[in-house]
Amino acid sequence: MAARPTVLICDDSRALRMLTAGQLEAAGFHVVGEASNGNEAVGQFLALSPDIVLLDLVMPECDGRQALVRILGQDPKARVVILSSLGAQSDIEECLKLGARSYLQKPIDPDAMERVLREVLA
Amino acid sequence: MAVKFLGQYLLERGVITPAQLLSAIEAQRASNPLLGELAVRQGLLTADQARRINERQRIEDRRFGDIAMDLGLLDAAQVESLLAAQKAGRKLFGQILVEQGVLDQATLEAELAAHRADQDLAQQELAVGVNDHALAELANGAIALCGRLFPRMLDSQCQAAGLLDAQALAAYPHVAHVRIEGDQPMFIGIATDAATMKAMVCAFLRIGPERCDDALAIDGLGEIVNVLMGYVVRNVLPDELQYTAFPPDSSVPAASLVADRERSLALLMNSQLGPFALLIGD
Repeated sequence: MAARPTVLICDDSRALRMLTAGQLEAAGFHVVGEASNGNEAVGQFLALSPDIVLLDLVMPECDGRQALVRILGQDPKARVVILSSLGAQSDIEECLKLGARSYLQKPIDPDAMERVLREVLA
Repeated sequence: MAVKFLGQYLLERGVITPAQLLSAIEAQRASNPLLGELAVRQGLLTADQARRINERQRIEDRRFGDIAMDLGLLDAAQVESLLAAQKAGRKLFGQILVEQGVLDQATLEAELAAHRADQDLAQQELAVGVNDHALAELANGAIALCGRLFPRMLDSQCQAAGLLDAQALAAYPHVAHVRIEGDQPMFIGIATDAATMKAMVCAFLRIGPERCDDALAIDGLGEIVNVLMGYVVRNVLPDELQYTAFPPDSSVPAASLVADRERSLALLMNSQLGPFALLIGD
């Protein structure tokens, strides 16, 4: 049986992490870790080497943009998908230019999330 | 005077007991299946397909049948057939009370007439209070969205019941709001009591109450408001609007958020999970 792709969820909202983890598991992904701020996100990435990182832009103690730069600095091939809030188009464009593979807008559509993550893995 | 569900009205008048109310609600739920449940029962959809459509409904403000057709899972004839079956089997709350022997038909009809008269008056008062306000369009849009969103997102009916003053807001100490800045600055917030907040968050996250501590409850309330703001932006505000949204904020008391009554509103909302205040302002 093929191993399920692994995901690290980075968002300061525990509720959103919980909701997203349930949706990911139902879609056939395996959530290997969570982070609630940018520093934790980088640490967890290095410790767990997930296939995909879901990274919220707005987080305390090092925001998503800074975490993205640090993660890609460690591994330029890291697959990072940005989680953005409403109206953050310019932030999304900047992160895509920095090397994020794609983005998802909150509130997250589970079907869209599965589609985007499968595309990123392909 | 506030707009109330029939069950709440009868309970407050002492016509039915809490146990009778609960029993009737459960019976109504059982006899009024959701479209997805009917489709699974009839073998038109698998449980997983119905779940996928329900998940999508939590995000998109669209009907179950429309999403099912878009996904190619049902055709128009099947959706029509399901809707007809749903309508045919539907039981009204009062009808169930009579079937359960809680009320006789004559008493039900008298209570329905009194409820209708009260509700007409309450609706008029609410309409006047909202429609006279500078934020009437936004408020009415947000009320309508809650009415559509709550059943999909939280499995609960929801309706506007009246306007709240600062004193009344003291009953709802747990608050989360989301603000947007830009072309049309505004905020949306929900203020509620602890029990209703936990019920909402447990419904939103689909978890049992034993898994919902206080921190998760307030965090979850913020995410619910985040979803509501997303709908407001997409459905109520003009398409070409430029804006930036801020993360949910639970640090500002409800009374402070709506202190300027000319630029904000606090609406009492009734839901099956409990009452809450919908806070709207610019």
